[in-house]
Amino acid sequence: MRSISFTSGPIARLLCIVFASIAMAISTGCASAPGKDKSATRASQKGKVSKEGEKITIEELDQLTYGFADRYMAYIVSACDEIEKSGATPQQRRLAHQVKLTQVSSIYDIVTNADPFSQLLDLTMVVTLQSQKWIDEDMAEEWFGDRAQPLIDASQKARADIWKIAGRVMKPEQLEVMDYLIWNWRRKNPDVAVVSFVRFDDFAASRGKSMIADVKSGTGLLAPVTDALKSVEEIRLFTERAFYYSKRLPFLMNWQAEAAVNNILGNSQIEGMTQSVATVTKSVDRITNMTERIPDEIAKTQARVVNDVQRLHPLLLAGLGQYRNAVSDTEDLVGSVSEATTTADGLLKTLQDTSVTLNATMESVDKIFMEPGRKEPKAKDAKPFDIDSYTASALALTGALKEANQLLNSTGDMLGSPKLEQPIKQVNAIAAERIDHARVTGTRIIDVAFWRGAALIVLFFVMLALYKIFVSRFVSKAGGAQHA
Amino acid sequence: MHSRSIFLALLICLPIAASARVSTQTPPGWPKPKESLQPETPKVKIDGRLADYRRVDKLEGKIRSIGSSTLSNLLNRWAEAFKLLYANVEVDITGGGSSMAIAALLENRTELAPMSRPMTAKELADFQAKFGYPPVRITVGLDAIAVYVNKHNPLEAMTLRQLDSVFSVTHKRGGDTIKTWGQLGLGNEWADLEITPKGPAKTHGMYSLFREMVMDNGEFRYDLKSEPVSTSIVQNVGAEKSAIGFASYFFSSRRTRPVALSATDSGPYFPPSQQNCLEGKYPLSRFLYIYVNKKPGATLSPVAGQFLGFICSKQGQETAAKEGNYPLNAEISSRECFGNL
Repeated sequence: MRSISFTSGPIARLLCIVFASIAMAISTGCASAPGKDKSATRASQKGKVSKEGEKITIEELDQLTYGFADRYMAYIVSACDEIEKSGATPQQRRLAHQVKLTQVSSIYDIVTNADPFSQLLDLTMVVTLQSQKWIDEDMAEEWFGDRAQPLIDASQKARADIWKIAGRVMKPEQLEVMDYLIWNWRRKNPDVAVVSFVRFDDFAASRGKSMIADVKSGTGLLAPVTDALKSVEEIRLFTERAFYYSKRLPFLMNWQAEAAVNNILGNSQIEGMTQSVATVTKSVDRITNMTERIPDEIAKTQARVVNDVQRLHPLLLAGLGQYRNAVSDTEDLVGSVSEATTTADGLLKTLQDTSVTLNATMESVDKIFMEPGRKEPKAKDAKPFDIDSYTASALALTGALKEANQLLNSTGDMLGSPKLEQPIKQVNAIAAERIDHARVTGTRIIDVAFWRGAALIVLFFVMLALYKIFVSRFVSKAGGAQHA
Repeated sequence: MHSRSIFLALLICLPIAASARVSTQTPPGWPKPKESLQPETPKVKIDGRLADYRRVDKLEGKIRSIGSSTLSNLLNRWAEAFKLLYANVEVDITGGGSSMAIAALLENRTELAPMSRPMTAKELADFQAKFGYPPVRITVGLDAIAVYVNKHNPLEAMTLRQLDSVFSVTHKRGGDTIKTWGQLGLGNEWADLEITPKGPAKTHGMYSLFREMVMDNGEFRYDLKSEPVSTSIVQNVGAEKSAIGFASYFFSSRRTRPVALSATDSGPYFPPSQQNCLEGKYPLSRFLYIYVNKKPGATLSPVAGQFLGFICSKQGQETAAKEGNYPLNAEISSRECFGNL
């Protein structure tokens, strides 16, 4: 049989923990003041909860505010998710996500405050201001139209909840003063758009404010705490607070990332850029269609010109020169569209990389802060943000652009190909032959041909003018596309 | 493990928390706010004929006030403005309700007894019995109890009898119980919609005032949903289509609309405008008072006298207007305020 050693091993460690706990309990007891404070602390240590109307301890208040923060998140998340799922516009969905992120983050920011009473004041102020904004100022309906009711209900519920907690700590007349201070602050600061990050300390010093601040020293229903006990309590509350927040950090970070991507895609410059790309694509389509018709038109023109204007070889060559310029412009356009496609590819890649990085960050933060074997619950029925829908849109856009590019390339190739050079040479040869023939026989039919030729010259210039207009339109389109 | 988690949490949270409080302005991508987000506050006119307050050379001391919660906020503003003129004056203000004012006055615990209603005959008799003379009533402000409905509610006007039928179980004004909006003449989807009444907590001065002015001291409906503070009553009405509630006119919001009221069944109906309240046409307007214990022929303490003089003056009434009350006009200020100092 083995003997039990008290100097080492698990039992020794257990004894150390027990002794340390006793020492901690003794030191805490010595530090606390006699009377009410002590009994209040003991009561709270035993898990006793004060009834309504009784003085409550700082620890109880701390628990109440934590509980509120989680309930608040449930109210706001379900309201915003309902708005997002109820066929809202992309803008409304983005705003609903922003509202969820901003409001819930601000509440968790408050409950990580070191002092539970300050937490309560800030929570009461922020939740009341938010409800004023959505309900009293009717912003919920302005932003979300007939989908606003879930947000209105959630804001109202959250406000009733926090004022009930405030009623546990403050007397009715103190509640009235608090209500008035908040109402009056809003009246005097109507331009503050984001009320979630206003804090009680931001109030100008006033008599009303000091009346509320004095609650902590015992004028309300909050049990006062002695300085010695306060320091012990603060360390414990700090530890709890760190754990509390670290457990909720992952989804806040995730929302933050989603909002960042939403903001990138909703950015007016990016929107403008995607619109420009779409415009270029349309222009390319139009130009391509026109370009496809050019060989036919040229063939017809050539036939007419060759048949009817036999002696105007130099002018024909000039026309063909313009035609070649147009081909050259088209090639430039092909180059510029290729560049645009490359840029769009780059943007898409950046977005994909960003989303991958954010997801990776989230996963590592999740891993760091997740308790072993546990997973953070997701809001029930909440539609997760899906980056794929955005990347799919971007892919489709790039695909369209690539197709347009390909089409234009092939058209460019066709126009610049030796196959087309051959007919042009033939045209030149035929024209030269005909002109030579005309020069020989011209003297014989001059009186008839003069008038006929004059008419044909007029016709030619009309045709040439039309052709020039056509080419200039083509070149300006190409230039516009390059500019875009 | 845990300490490492905490460290990492703080490492990540602190920059976020720090950046989170950077701005309260409209973030990029958010809809621009309207020209003014502020709810429609009543238009208030200051009577140019009100007397100016003239500062005296030396004034110091302390004055106490115990009474109406409704008046506490206003008194705080007056005290702040007064202290700008006299740095060595202290005004100690305690709320608690109008009923506390008379008790404090009888026990000599206060110089000023603010009340959001006139003293009852019994309260006056108690004071008279103790001191042998009546208390002095100084009229310091004007307020209107507005009856709010949701902005989508088409109801325009009500009589006091209808209000009694909606809010009370006793119906001392002789009406029948009104439970649905259809009973108030609304049709379509409103006809069968049940009315949801909202009001203040029992401890609130408005509770007893409404009970007295509308219900002839009858009893409130048992399902009256009481709210801890005035603004939440108005907000509840704004949030719920079927709700009706009463609170000060100055808590109006964009989602609520005050209805015009008539003291008689045949009208006329008056909205709670400043003029209608000053002329006493709006049936739920009320003056706000401060009662003091002043023996006939005696004078108030210098601090109390100057403070009340400031309240009655143009500067005092401007402060009242800024804080969301209707100011007195020159006649009432001269007769009911200065006249009783």
